Amino acid sequence: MSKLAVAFDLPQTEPVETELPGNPLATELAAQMAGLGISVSDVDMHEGYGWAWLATCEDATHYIVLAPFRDGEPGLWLLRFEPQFGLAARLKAARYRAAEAKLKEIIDRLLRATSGVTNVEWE
Amino acid sequence: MRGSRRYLFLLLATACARPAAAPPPVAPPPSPLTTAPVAPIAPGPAAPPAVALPAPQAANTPVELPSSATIFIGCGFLRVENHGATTFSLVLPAAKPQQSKMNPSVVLLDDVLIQAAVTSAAEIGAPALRGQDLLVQQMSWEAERMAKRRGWKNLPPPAGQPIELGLSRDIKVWFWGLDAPEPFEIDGVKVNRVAYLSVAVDDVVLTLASPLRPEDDPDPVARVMSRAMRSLRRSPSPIDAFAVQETAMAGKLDPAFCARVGPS
Repeated sequence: MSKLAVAFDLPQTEPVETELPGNPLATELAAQMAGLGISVSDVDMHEGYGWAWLATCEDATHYIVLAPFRDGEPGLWLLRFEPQFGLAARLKAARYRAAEAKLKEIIDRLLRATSGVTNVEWE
Repeated sequence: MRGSRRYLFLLLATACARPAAAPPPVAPPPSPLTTAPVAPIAPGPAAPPAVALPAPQAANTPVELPSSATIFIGCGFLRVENHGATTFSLVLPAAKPQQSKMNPSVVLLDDVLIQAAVTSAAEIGAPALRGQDLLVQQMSWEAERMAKRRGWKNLPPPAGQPIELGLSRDIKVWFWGLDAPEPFEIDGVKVNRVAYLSVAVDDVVLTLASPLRPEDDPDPVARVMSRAMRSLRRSPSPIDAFAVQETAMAGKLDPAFCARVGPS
């Protein structure tokens, strides 16, 4: 199974008509990651696609986007990850790969420990 | 133009790059920002050959690959897209490439600001759509999101048209634009239009977006985006962005990548 992104269900607590829900959830996830020693940036809007933040784990930085409305439905979410190599990347592939794997393990644990989250599935 | 574009990128890293040379002539498509009529397109030529990529993963081996990545390759950036069975890449060419430190999908290509974003047919609520139908739907979806985000009540319907870039016949490209009902700010710069170039590869839509000030000519932007999109190639297997990045870092990247866009 490849782990390109993680999908999960969590009933939307914001009004359904909220155009781009997810800021509280993204902020909470980022805060929990920070609590685990991961350096995180503020959460910001990724245009209309979702809420994004940077997370640095073991010297590798990833751009994380929480996209609401997976499959067009509220309460279905998708987390995407994009490595931030930068123009002066120094890490070997193995280091990036290990850091990304660790980051995803942490997020997997966080999601499964979050009240109300179901159907955590890497796809 | 140059000064304001630089202002847009207060947080950019800078890069060593090859000396600038005259770009190859690329005929920009007519701008849909001037509501050009939509014309049917002729079938494209045969698909360009897939390019060999470093260290493809065996299909039955668990892989840890990013779905999207933007890798500095000297002549610009290689944008990698892994989405299950759909895998492709394209080169974002620039003599002076720069990249946002806050969002790896935001790059500056010789003073043209480009943001790449990817979505899927399912995510925009149209799982059965493909090709041009998917692109038209994605245009409406993105325009609606943009309008609601900015609080615009009277956004004119977005206008677009298919363009032919010589890609595989099953890969459709759509050039479109938004004319905002009022100026809005991006990093302190007032803009009032956004030019988009979207491509549908199976159920995946990749969009390149570039904001424009009222006085900006959209043609150079269209030229940069179409040059990038012309370099799109499918890959027969997932692309190991980490391996590509390491290879590029070592200066050993296959010159075929930069050859897709020619000298810059």
